[in-house]
Amino acid sequence: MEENIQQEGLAEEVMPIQEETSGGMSDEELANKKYLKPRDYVFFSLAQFASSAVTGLVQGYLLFFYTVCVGIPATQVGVMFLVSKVFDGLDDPTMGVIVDKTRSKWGKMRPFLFFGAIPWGVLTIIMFMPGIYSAMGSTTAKVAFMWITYLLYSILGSVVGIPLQGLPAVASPNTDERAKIISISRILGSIGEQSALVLITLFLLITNNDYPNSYMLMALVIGVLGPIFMLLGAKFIKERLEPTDRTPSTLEGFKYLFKNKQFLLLICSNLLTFFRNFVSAMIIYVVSYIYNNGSLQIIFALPGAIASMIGMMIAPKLRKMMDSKKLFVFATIWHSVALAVIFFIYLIGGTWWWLIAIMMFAAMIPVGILNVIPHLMATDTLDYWEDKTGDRCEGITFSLMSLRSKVSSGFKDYVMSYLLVYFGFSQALPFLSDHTPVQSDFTKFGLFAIYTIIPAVLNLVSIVPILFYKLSGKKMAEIQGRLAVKRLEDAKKLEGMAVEAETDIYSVVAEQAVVEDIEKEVETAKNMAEATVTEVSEVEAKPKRTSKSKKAADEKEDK
Amino acid sequence: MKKKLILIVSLVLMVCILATAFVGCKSAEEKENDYYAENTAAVKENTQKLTSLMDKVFATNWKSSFVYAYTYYSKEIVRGSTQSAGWPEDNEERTKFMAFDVDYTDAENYTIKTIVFKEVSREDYVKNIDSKKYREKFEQEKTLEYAVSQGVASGELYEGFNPIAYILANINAEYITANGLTASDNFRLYLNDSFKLSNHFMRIETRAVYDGEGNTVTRDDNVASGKKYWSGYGEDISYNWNNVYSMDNNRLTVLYTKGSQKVDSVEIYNENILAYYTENNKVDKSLVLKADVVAFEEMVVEFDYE
Repeated sequence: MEENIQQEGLAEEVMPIQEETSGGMSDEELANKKYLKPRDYVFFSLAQFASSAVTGLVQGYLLFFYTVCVGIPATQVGVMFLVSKVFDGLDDPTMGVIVDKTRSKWGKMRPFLFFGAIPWGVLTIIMFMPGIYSAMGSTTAKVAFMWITYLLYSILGSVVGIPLQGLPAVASPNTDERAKIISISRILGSIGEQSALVLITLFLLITNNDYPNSYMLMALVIGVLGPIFMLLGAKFIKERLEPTDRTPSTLEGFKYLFKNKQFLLLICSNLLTFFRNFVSAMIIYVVSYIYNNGSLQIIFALPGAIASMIGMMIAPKLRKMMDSKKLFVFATIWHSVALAVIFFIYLIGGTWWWLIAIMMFAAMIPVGILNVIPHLMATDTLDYWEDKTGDRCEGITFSLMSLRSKVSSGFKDYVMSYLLVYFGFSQALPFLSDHTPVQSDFTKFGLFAIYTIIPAVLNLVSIVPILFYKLSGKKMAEIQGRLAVKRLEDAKKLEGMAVEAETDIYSVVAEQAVVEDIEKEVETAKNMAEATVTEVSEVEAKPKRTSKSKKAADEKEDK
Repeated sequence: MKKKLILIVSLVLMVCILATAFVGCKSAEEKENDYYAENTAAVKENTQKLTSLMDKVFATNWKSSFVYAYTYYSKEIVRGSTQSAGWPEDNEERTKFMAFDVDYTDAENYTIKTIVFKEVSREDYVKNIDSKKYREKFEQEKTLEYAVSQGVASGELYEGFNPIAYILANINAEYITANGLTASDNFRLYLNDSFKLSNHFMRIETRAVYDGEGNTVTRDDNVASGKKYWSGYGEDISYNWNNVYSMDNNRLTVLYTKGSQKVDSVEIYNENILAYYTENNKVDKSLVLKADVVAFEEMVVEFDYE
């Protein structure tokens, strides 16, 4: 029943394209066909904005809220964050497999957004309610509540996040459109991530630095608007690519990474891009310990964020000039060269913070490009897999992409802490409220190296797996051409079946009508024959007739 | 059948992991003892190495320009009590700053030619300490020709400060061994503006903790008195601040070229930390003890050999 509904939905979307293509469109024209409408861009970006706003709120402010506003020991919070990361390693791929096994009248992604958005928003608000914690009294109860709500939040984050990431892959088969929607939504996402910063500044101003209530108000605004935007996104964006008839088994879902070699190469390359994250993570160290001015953080972070957005904006345009693989390599080299130049300028004495901040702008543009391109490449690997096997696994693909991002973040933290130790970084004493120990010259040098030259050099490693990645421009064009033809043929088959079925019905109806007509004629003829026979018998039964009646009888007989 | 096999294998694996973990587990006390034993050995080894290096430094002619800074709050920071918060509203930070030229002309004799002292804001200080040519940046307020012999100061410096004596005091092996908490000596790749490679980085950190009467609290004292000053060990040693009044953290970092056994630079940082009463958190307004840095010193000496 569900499949029928889905086929109807597909026919609705595919049939108009079919009519146009029958008007003589080539495969290339077919591949370039536009599917997305402005509402798709607007509402998907809103959903992405909501998702990033909640993520930005939780990642940026929850630790401070737990430790400072609620008074939970930092070590307890740290342990919980660590466990939740391990937990994500399980729940993300599981969610991916669930998405891939889902078939519904709304598609395979959207149902999770419809049903997950509101609980996700409610939980976000609950986590930031100081009243709940103060009512609990004991630290044990607070810690227990923190564990339960945060792990639930992690699960719901996967329930909503994985399908949301997968939506562009099924919204349109057109690569340029996918690039555009990923690019626009990521820009909105970057802005969304900062919405908590804007709100907390505003609420602290209004409440005269009342932190607990400011956090609660911030969570209320984001926790209410987030699900609304998410639901709007789920309602208005369409899943235009038909899910494959066969649903992959759970084991197949987990094996997918190793079967789809192109996807495996992409994941490996992306895992190695975590060095890039040193740049933003090191800003706080650079401003606090090299420039001794923590308030410079915004001066360093803002140009980088704007540059990154510009990068995301120009990514689709650059994508038209070169294929994803070339663009990935180009952007990585650009980023590395820019960071190396900053490092050498610093070495020869260009240590002014404003100079470094300005130069970072140029270095962060390619980061925006690199935020978009891997997602686009992931959709390419989906097309490649569909072309090769007939299966599409958006759920598992984007869950692994999400997991990759979390694992990368873990690697980043680990390698960064190792490098900090290596350069003799003096850790702030955990029992001091605001401890910024002075660092040695050697350590300052090391901090700047982790900020610039080390990611510049190590980033280049991420290019190596991509060199074996085969889905370049020509190959992808061929795959997409074949898929377009396949989808057209599928649609034609669907139409053909419908026409055939209609023809069959007409012929049956016509046959029935003929039979009925014949039967009617036969009946009429039979009746007439019976009537004639009756009359003839009556005439034979009346031998003496008047001349008048005889004449009438003769006339009837002639007739 | 397969499911049963997987279940059995999983259970066996789990038992193996648990058994390994159990065997690998040491009691907290054992771990603490191991930590201090290893650390003491490392401190002894490094202080020996450091002393021999410094002996070589003072046996060679060298020149150096360096700075010393002492940062503190303009008003005295007080501990407070459970009824009144300790940290004052007006806690403006100030820095006293000194720059030195040292011309060490002969073994066992050194001459300090110039002394410049000026109080500057932290911002100016930061600007200056980031520059390698410290001396050119300062206005000279007071200049003294100064000479000492045999390592003993013959004139009066600001607040009795003698930088060379200070360095020597901070590399005293006994002092470090007695107070030493951590020590490291790792091979480093150090690129600086002259692109030197293969320098060595050595660091010794010491920590001194004082009780309410100003007596030094040592680990042995703590064990003997049965007071619970230490609730942890390792890098994140935490204290019961009800029993601890203040703490000093000292750090000595040495960069040296491995082949030539020459010290390239010595950096010394000392922090004075005080415990004071403040709000527990934003929800619970009760006053609790926390600690913060109330003063710190830093000094960077770079050696230029003839």
